[in-house]
Amino acid sequence: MQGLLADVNVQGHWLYLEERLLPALGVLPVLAALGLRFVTFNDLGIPRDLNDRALWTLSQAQGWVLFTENRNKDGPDSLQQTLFDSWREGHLPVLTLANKARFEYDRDYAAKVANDVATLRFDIAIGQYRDQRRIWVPMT
Amino acid sequence: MGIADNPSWVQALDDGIAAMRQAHADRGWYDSHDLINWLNEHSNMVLNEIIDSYRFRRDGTPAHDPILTATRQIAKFLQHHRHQVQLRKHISQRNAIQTVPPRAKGNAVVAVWQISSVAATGNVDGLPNGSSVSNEPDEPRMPAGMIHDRGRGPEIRGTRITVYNLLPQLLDPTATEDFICQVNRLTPEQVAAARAYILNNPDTVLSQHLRIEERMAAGNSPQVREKARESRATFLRFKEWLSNREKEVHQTPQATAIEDGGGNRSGSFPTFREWLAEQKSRPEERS
Repeated sequence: MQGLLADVNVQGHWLYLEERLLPALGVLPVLAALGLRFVTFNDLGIPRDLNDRALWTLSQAQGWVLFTENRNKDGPDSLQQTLFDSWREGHLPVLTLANKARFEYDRDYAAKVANDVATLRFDIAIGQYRDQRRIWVPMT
Repeated sequence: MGIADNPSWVQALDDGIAAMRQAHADRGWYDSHDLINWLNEHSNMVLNEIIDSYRFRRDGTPAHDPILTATRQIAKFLQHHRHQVQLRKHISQRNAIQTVPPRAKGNAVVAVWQISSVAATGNVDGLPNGSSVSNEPDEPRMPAGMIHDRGRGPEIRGTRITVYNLLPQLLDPTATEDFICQVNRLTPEQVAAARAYILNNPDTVLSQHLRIEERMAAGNSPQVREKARESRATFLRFKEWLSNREKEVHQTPQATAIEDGGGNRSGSFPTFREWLAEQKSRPEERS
């Protein structure tokens, strides 16, 4: 696992998470210790309109855990369908922000998301959660 | 002062939009001249007030064509304040307007506006609660160009952002246009196109939105929730161990040697394998 890849639909939110929340929670040293990176579409040169199936395939092939907001129809090439027909145990899970709107205004909720993202980064890096297609954050 | 700032002008335009929807529902569109012609006939005073307001430029010099300027400003109002979807532009005829001085009829290139199921009067800035026109098509209407559907639902062309991504923000009264643009890396035109799509296809969008909400409400399985608690505990142990380890390293002369010239102390951190090995050697601490 290389780290987390922020989807276009949470790119702005992730910046806040990465620049403000995670440092405030004091978890950056842990993530740095694991050598995990955070990247955006821009960093990897991924087209902003890549379809779900291609994105998931690329993420798995390159070892990125996709962090996204899943608010789209379940078409044949949707993320939901791709996870259904292509995911196998051992693949990296997809992290899905459960409530982006709440993340935007609820400080406690945002902190919970940040804590869970940090925890999941850590756990996935050590081989956990490879039996899950998708994990919603916050997790509980 | 713009058109949107004058309640009587807004009221007249809303009445005109509603009349356009009724009069031209069969063909599915109206153009700016249709609306101007209607205003000329039914709200002539307002039309003249609007035209008069554009007789002079900001620097005080006379405007070249105040009627054309007024037509364009009305088009902007339709697009930005009433979220009318522009299909294309075409040449059409404007009737003679009773202005001072009188203005003969003429042709000009004007915007063609889509007629949809959204009620044109009343609360068109929020989700519509008005009645639908009788010829609503089965297929959702797509604003020309900016919105397409690749199977993920209506999506802003060139991005992975669907109207469902934006809907919660568009429904949030505290989310300004700037905020939505900035956080989603979108232009105002792209956000306007998404808003127009939602307003033009409220039933389709809301039913899919509810399905998405339902899927999200299900959340994680009980197993994942239980595992999350364990994960958190493990993570916190690692964090604490790392913190203690760092303090120890800093207390030794060798520690400073690990730091590079830029103050980067990443080399002083243990690898996960080191940490794991230490944890295994002290199993009682993990229970």
